[in-house]
Amino acid sequence: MDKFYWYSVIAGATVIFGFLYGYFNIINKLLYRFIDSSLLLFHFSFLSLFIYKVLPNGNISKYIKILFPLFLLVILSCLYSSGLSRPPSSAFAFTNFGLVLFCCFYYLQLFEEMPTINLLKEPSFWIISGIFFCMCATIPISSIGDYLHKNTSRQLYLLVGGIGSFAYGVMHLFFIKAYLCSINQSKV
Amino acid sequence: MLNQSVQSIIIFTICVILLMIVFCTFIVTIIYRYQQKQNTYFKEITELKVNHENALLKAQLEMQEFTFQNISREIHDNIGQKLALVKLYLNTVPSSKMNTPIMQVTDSAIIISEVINDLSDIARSMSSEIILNNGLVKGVEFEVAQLRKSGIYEIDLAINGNPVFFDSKKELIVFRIIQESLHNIMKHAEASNIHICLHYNATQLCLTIKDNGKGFVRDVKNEGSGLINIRRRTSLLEGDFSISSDKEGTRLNITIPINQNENA
Repeated sequence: MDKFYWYSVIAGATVIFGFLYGYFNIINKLLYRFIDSSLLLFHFSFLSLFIYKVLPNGNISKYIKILFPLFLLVILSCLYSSGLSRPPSSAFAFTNFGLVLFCCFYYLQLFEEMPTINLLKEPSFWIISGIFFCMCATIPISSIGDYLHKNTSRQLYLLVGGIGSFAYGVMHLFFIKAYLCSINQSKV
Repeated sequence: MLNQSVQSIIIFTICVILLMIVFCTFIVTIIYRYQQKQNTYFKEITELKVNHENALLKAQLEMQEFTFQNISREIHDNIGQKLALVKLYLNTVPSSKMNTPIMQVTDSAIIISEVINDLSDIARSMSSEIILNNGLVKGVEFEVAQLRKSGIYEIDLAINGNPVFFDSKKELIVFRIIQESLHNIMKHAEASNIHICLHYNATQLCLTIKDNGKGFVRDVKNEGSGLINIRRRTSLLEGDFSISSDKEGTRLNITIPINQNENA
């Protein structure tokens, strides 16, 4: 939890970065694609690592240990296959699917161990719920993202993308809730 | 064109609302199920704690009974015998050989005789045999008779209902509760009247001990060890304990469930 704020910092920087690129076009396209792909890998690795750290050592964390490199490999191959074009929607879909799976592991673990924590005051619960919400909402969008981009109107594409942005915003609201919980915890 | 964008906004809003509803339901379900599990877990922990405390208390009481038995046996078999021997010696000393006056020797023999009787009473009071052999009612009657002998108290013992023998260990605990209460009255109450009532009915035994002493101000946090012992013993029997006190005296009520299956 101590280092989790870095995710929000980098997410904020990404938004600014995207804004600069989208409206002012001041960044090199190739550099933008490279950073975009790197950020996707960072997003997946950071959140997976967070979930892994939250889980106690046991069978479930072992599954994450095994599945994480597999997902990473698949995502990398998706990025590699797309070359220098924008990251393909399949890479996003796999990222989201992997994170949803890891979140499910967290929920499973929650009901397997002794129920001694107060969920409403547990920062990791809010963070993982936020991730779960955002990833669940964006799996269908990212799965058909490329199709929508090529075959539908720009208006529909932006509309569907809006749902993704909304989910991403909600995820950060959950993170804020988690920060508040962690502040309260440290006060206690 | 305008219609299409309005339609799109409506679809977007519906999707978002649906998404939020599904997710909120999911989160609420997770929290609800987790708290259910947590409640069950805490209930189990509390039960375990209570069982552990009861087991500890039982062990303590057994040890206490064992100590009582030892002291009682020691008084009866050792001190009592030695005093009896001293009394015999005093009675058989020829008066011609004594330097002290004969009156003092006779008085000493009488005092020793009284000491033997007192010790015998204490030994019997400490021993659990009276309860094991004759039951709670006889035990209480014996205790009351002992107290009456002192001449300080007017004691009224009432046995209502149909006295039943229940588990002798439980009867012994009830007996020790009564002893502890009487001891408290003697020590603190400055009473002249004591009323003891044992009321038996089909499912429970109601014990009431009342005195006309000076009463006391209750402090639940700093209860005396006597009251704590009574409370713990009552809880061990899964009974109810209540005490009320004012300037006119103190009243102790204890209700103990009787399991018909274990009646001897």
